[in-house]
Amino acid sequence: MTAPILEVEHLGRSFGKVSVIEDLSFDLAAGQTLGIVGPNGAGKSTLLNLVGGVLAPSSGRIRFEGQDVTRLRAEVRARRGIGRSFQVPRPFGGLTVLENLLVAARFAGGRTTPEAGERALQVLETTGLLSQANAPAGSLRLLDRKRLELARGLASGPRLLLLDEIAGGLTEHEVPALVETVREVKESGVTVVWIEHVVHAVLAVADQMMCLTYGRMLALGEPQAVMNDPEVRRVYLGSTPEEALG
Amino acid sequence: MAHPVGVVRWTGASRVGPPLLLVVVVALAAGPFVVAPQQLFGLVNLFAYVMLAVTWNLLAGYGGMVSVGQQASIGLGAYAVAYLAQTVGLNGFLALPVAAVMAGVVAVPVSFLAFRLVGGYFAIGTWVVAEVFRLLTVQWDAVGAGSGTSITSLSGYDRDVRLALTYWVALAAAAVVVVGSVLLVRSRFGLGLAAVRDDPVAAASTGVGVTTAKRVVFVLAAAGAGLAGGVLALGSLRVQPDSVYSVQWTAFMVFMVVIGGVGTIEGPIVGAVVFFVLQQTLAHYGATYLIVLGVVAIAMVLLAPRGLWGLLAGSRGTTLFPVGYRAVLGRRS
Ligand SMILES: Nc1ncnc2c1ncn2[C@@H]1O[C@H](COP(=O)(O)OP(=O)(O)OP(=O)(O)O)[C@@H](O)[C@H]1O
Ligand SMILES: [Mg+2]
Repeated sequence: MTAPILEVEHLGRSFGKVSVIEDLSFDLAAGQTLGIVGPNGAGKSTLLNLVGGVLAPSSGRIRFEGQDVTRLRAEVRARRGIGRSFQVPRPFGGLTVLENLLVAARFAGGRTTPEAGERALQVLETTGLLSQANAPAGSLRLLDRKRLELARGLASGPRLLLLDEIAGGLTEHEVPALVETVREVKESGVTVVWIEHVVHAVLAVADQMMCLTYGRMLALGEPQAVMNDPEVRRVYLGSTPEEALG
Repeated sequence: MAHPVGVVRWTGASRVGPPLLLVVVVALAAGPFVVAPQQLFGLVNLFAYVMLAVTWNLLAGYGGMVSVGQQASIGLGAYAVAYLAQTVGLNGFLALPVAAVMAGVVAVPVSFLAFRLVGGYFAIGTWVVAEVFRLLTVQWDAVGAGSGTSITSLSGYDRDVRLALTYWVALAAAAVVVVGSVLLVRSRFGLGLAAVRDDPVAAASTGVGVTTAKRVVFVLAAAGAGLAGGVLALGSLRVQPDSVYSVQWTAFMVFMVVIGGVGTIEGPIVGAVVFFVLQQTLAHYGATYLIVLGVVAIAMVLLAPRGLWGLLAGSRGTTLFPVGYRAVLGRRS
């Protein structure tokens, strides 16, 4: 048994009167990959923002590696080992792609300049961005911006990596390479939470799946079981399990 | 397929800046031996402009904080020099670093106030702070209240010696500000600061202490503007609240940085020189010179938003200083 790296207890968040995450509780064991699916507006990104510290919860607690991080600022959580990507890319547009990764490697990763450089180049190579290393991040096309999100999240060397729809926009030819990248990350011992609409991609690596709707957990468990759950299938309106599983 | 070789900081162009800077400073140091005293006085102002442009660029171009209130620190620095030299009896030149430190220290509480505001409110807020400083100064009899005061305690020096000393002190101060800004931008802190400017949310999520980074640069920019204010006071030997706390200084800083190129090391220096030359050549045309400045600024924003340095540096953003990072890639067959 591995101790849970992430413990979410009765988490809630509302915007005004609208409750976006409601009384959500789950544990994630170290080294596991959790896939999260759910319709638009279900609260998936909000959950990631709560865990990453970009948003403060209205109620509940979040523990990372046994310690309560609920009140810690995002930068402190990042330095403790939580890395992330943003669904809508947020590159440091005035810096080069390489420098974007160096920020993460030096600040969140606490690496020296030479170590950070080595790490950044290695991550750029695995994420397919190496040829763009010296390009200004602001000049990247959407697809490369998405790659940069994954790369920057990895550059710090996080123990928990939060990914938000990194496969959107990829062609069917490009998805396997991305899945392979995430699998390598997972095999290096990193715990991954991966929100993804491209369900077959996330199913290829997930140890567990969660389905969110209206801020509530509809199902959590073994991936095939969750995707075959009639409630989950109803959420993916009209789709057969085959379609949902790709 | 490309493969990674390493990360370098000293590329072809970035080897040029440091020795070039050294040569320029050494050449300028000969000024008092070759230039007429009246022109020395002009150059003292140029050095102050360089300090103002470089520090405002740190704030806006690297920190993403568009301040309209740097004249608060200029006035504070100028008045600190005047007060220390006249009333406390400190040598005017020695008062200069003290004035810079004072401007920086005062900026700490101001930052707690100003950082509660964002965007346009931040800009207006900083302006209000500067106005408050001006109003407080006007009430202060020891420094001549509304009519200001003269610095007479340097009259022990022979006039030419005093001018030369002022010139060298101003040059040294500008060199410290320029070298300091290069080192700051080059440092780990500078990398984090650029991240904060581009996207504070992503910066926090990559471990950068957003508020601390902003506060540090806010305080350093205030100290730099205070230093410039002190230099202006030593140059003119006169401080007046309406002139040292004038919002016109902000207009000049914006002009210099926009003309030269925001968010670059070289841009503000280029901008300060251009501004200085325009001011010298157009000085006797009165208000027309302000109109020319305005037209030049608008043309620049429309035609070359990255400024003169941006035009020279091209799309690759060439820099003469080793402040960035470059991946060196090899070719595999
Ligand atoms: N800052 C905010 N202020 C107000 N409402 C918000 C805010 N952020 C999110 N919401 C709302 O919360 C709900 C959940 O949003 P969230 O982005 O978490 O959904 P999601 O599951 O990630 O959806 P998608 O699949 O479209 O990315 C949406 O209705 C959204 O409009
Ligand atoms: Mg989302």
